[in-house]
Amino acid sequence: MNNSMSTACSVTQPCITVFLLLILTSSVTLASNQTPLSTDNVETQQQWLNLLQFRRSDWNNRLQSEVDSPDFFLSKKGKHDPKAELRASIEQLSQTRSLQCRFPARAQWLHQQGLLDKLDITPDNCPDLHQWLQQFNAESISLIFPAAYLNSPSSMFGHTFLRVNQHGQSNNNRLLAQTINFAANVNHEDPELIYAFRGLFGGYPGVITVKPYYQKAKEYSEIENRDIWEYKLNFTDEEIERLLLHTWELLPNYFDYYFFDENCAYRILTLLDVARPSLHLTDKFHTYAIPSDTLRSMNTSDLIGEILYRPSMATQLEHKINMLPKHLHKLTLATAKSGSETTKLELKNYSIEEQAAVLEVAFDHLRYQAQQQEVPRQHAAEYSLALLKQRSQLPPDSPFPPAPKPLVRDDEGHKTFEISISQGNVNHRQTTRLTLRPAYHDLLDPSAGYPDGAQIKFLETAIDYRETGTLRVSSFTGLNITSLTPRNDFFKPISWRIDAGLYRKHLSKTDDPLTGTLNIGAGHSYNIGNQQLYALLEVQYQHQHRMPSNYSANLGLHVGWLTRKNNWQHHLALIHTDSVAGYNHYYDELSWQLSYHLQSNLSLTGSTQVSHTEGQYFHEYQLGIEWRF
Amino acid sequence: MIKPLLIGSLIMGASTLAFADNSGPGCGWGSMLFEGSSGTPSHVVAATTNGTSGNNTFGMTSGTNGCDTSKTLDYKGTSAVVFHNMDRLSSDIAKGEGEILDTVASVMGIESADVPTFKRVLHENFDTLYPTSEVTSEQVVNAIITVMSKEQSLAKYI
Repeated sequence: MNNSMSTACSVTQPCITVFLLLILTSSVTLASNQTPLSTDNVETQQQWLNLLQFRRSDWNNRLQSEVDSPDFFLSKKGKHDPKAELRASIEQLSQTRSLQCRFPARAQWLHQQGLLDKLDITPDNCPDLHQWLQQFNAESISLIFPAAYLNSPSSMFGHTFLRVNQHGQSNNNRLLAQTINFAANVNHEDPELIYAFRGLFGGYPGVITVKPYYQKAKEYSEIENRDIWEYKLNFTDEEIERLLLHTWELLPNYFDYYFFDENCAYRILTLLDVARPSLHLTDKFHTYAIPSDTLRSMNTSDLIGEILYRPSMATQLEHKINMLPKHLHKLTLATAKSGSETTKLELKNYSIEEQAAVLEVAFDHLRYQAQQQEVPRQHAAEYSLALLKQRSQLPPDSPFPPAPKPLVRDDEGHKTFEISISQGNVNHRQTTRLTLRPAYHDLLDPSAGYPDGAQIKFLETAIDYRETGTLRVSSFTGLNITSLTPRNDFFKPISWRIDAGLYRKHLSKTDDPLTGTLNIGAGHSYNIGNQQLYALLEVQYQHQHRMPSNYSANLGLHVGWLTRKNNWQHHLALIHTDSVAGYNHYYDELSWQLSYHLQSNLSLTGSTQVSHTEGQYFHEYQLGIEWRF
Repeated sequence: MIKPLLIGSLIMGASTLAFADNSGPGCGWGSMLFEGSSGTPSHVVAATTNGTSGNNTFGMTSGTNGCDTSKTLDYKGTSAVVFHNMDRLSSDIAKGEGEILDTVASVMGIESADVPTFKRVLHENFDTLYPTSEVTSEQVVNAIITVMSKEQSLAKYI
């Protein structure tokens, strides 16, 4: 016992603690109820809290475990009282040896601390545990991060999971490795809105699942069309073992699942903290965890080794289309559409390599369309097989190299919390504006590492200080999601946007109250070189009791022009809406925004806006600076 | 290592075709080709909940889409790999290369010296492996084994 104590202790303070605990608990009487364990002492043992998934509440600063199933605790008070759980664990794990198989990471830690006499988690004693461990054949751990995908900005919140790399694994068979995921166990019977609501607010239990990587990779890269980044983590064998043993402890348990903070990215971090307590990764996330932020935090801890990229099916298709000579585009689309004899004959005019290229792109495109439900599946199935047969009659080896790795990874993009200060003029009044945006990405922020044409903003608040010496909220964006995805010969996505918040509305020359506003728009977008153009049909609902009839519903057109070039970006937008119901008024707005990026987290901005409603014009312009951290 | 299983599967080769559960609608190549709907609403919901079962993969493995895999023979994982990658395997075989083809070679224990032959033979026999769009993963695996058995350097892996 003395031995294990000395190896476990390196710092004086914990050593004394352990020593005291040791004396107290090894007394034969084990009068655990009276054991005067100091809560402070237990709390300094960060690893014990890690193993119990304890976290200090943001609301009342109290410690509690995030595991919500009672079976995870050996003491009835375990969820709230790490000391009681320690006592119960020491007692029960030493009395009931088989219980160590259920809590092997806990038992191992207690043993290392000298609090548990005998550790017995050998294959003979715990066959189930070892059978489970065997499936991993663990050599190393990779963190897997499916990136945000085309036309779905909410996926910017991403998802992370772990892959346990096998001994002797190569890049040719890494699909066979097992993965460890944390995700909501959702109920598909629920109506969609309830489904989304429960997902966000903890209505679904979160569980740890183990699945082969080929299944997970397929979900993300083929079904959801998300690129995947794979980060190898520099864990030692001992750390890997600890991570797996703790995962085993968590398997039969559930957590209430919250989208923003207790999400998959956060839960994965708790596993990494157990593996290497000195990382303190979870300490860095108190309110919400955005996966790319969690990766950024890891990048500073020399935990990350080799980084691999796995392009999604859509990315590969896009890459192939870009490589396909222009003169073959029309033939490829025709080939993907029908197997008419004329297209078959026309194809024969080209070289073998060009034929293979056309057939491969045609098949991939047809599959993509069928996935998007743009073509009927029955037809697609029959015809896809015909295309593959045709391809198989040509010599092997694809004419296309794999899609290249993007220059900037998702976790290398700009940071997500933004503060900006601007100075300008709002309706002939000098105004200084302070804007806070907790998350996440604006159309005019540097686009490297983010999907082009995507915007997602949460809780953006702008406060104006006016020359009259007054302070007021000038706008509050609850949620703004914009997805402008360009259409071309091969891809036909819908662009859309949703914007909900409180915005100033001019009811008269002097009255502009904050007005509850919901805008929803849908339309098309096209790229011409570096320029992106879009047009959306938009409905706007506004509510404000000072407005005639309290509300207004307007319908209109929203068109815009975006440019992204080197360090600068601009956005010109024109909106025209007219009344459909409620307060009868029209509204026109012309706005222009410009940003120049000094660094990825520092930009200069300029904006000007003219609006016209009920015969009156309103102007504003601002020059400012944005800082992201 | 995998020999007994594979030999067993050869013997059962004919009878597996009779597994009604696996050859019913929803399990063939055609149905598995286009798994998952990707409309905008489903994207948003899937992304907000990170649902474990937010796609058809769940439906297939749990049998809720009418496709029961519990009766499928598992050739040390080969069947599962083929089952979950029906579409990509077929397009890999059509062009004679690709990650899923490499993975299947790996799970079957094929040594690197024989992998090029394995790929070539499968590529040449595409029509045998995929006779119709209704072919099931089990039929594909059995056909792969039959094709391998006829090739001298590959027969030893069966």
